[in-house]
Amino acid sequence: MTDAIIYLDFASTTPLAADVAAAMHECTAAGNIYGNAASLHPAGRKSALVVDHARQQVATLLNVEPERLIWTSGATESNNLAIQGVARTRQHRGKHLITMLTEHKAVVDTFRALEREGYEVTWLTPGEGGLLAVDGLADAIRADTQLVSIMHINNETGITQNIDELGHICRDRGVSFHVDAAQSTGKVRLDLSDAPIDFLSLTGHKFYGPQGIGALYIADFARAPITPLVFGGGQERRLRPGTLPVHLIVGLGQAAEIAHEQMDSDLRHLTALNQRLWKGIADVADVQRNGSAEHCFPGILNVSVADVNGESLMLGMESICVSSGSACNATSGESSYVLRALGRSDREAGGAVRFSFGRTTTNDDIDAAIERYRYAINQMRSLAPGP
Amino acid sequence: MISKDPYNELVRDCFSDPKHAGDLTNEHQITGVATGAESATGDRLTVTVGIDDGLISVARFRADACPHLIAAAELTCMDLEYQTIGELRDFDPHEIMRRLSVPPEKIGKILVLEDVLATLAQKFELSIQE
Repeated sequence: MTDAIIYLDFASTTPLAADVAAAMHECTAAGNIYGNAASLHPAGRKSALVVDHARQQVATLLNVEPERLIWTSGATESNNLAIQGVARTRQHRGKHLITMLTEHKAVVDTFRALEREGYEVTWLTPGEGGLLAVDGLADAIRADTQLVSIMHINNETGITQNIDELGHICRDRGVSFHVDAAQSTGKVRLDLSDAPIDFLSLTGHKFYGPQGIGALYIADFARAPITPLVFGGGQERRLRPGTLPVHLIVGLGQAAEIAHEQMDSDLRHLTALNQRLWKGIADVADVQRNGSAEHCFPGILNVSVADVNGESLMLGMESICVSSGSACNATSGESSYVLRALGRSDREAGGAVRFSFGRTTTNDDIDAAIERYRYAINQMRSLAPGP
Repeated sequence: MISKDPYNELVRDCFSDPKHAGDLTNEHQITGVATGAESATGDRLTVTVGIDDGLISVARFRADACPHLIAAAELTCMDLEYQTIGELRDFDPHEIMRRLSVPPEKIGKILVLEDVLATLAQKFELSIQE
């Protein structure tokens, strides 16, 4: 590979923002902040102070009280803590849970594990354009339903669910509502102060913070108690014990502050990039957009062609770092379950490419991606046997 | 350095510049074509050979397939040229797979190549008998 890499995989992870790296470096510099944040001595209190500051930064981003946030290792752990935590705490009341077929693996596999333990899960299918119908959720809720978990922005397609409307259904019916907001936190405005959301998962590395740190928002500890996944100390209200990674927390806090300040300009930038990319590839024969522009987060554009092998397409445009709808490298050999749930065929799902952009993406990056995508499709089609 | 590259250098070379991709362009004393498909993935492969004076003079392929199968088809066509029909029948794609470092989970998908070559050999044997 001699081509320069163009990174268009921001939905997988984002590069660390320079100001975030600087804040973390300052924290870890020798002799600066090293104490255990749970210790009562001055070194520990110094760490606890910066942890508190970071908690306030994240709380400001979500417009909530900082005490509502529990540090975790990322959205996967937050999702597990919320879903398993609620299910186990309330199993004496009922063992029915609800989620969607198009959730991230971190949610899907958690519910699958609970199914193996005897819980009953209703898997809702998306309707037109990938959106979950409010009536569909209302109909699925039963007297023994304990939790509904719906992701905000889909990681593959960018399809954005109306979590406010869905949350009100849950609240009206007395069911806890969890939102996987890994793709939306720091990217779109989230005001949880009056939102009908009981739990919300977020992670730092999706919005220019460090990998390995996230948080779970819990609206009301008393109303919705949860059972911890691990035991071993009193940190984070005993819900997530373990010594806090102070420098990662500082990075997440800084990333949240930057996101809060730059969100509007970030969104305008992403919208322009999305439109530029779609304009550049919309006339490729038989290309389909997975998720309508109207309901999708502009930082993600997922497109499919049915007549090209997805793995070869990815290798053909290798200098452009994107994600594929194909898992052909993996042992499963399965195409994206999310795209198949949207009605795409195996071949369409396998030939899907997810472009995702970010703060540092330029028009030149998009133009290079357009050129490479078109070139790779043409190459693969010229190689193919006749029908 | 980028580690865990799923494709070795030979796969990359064959994929980026498949010299044996395409169709036969000249007349040959005998021509044969066989097509195979992998139902699970929808991958398709066609191999065409031209035979003159008892030897495979040209072999070409077309593929809508993963990089490993494209590379395997390219190497196979290269190796088939100047071979006899008997050698076509005995052609063992496992040596090609070894050279391409095909990962174990993909070997099943590459075996479509074996099916195509077997069909091709069978067609030639039948045409010779006739």
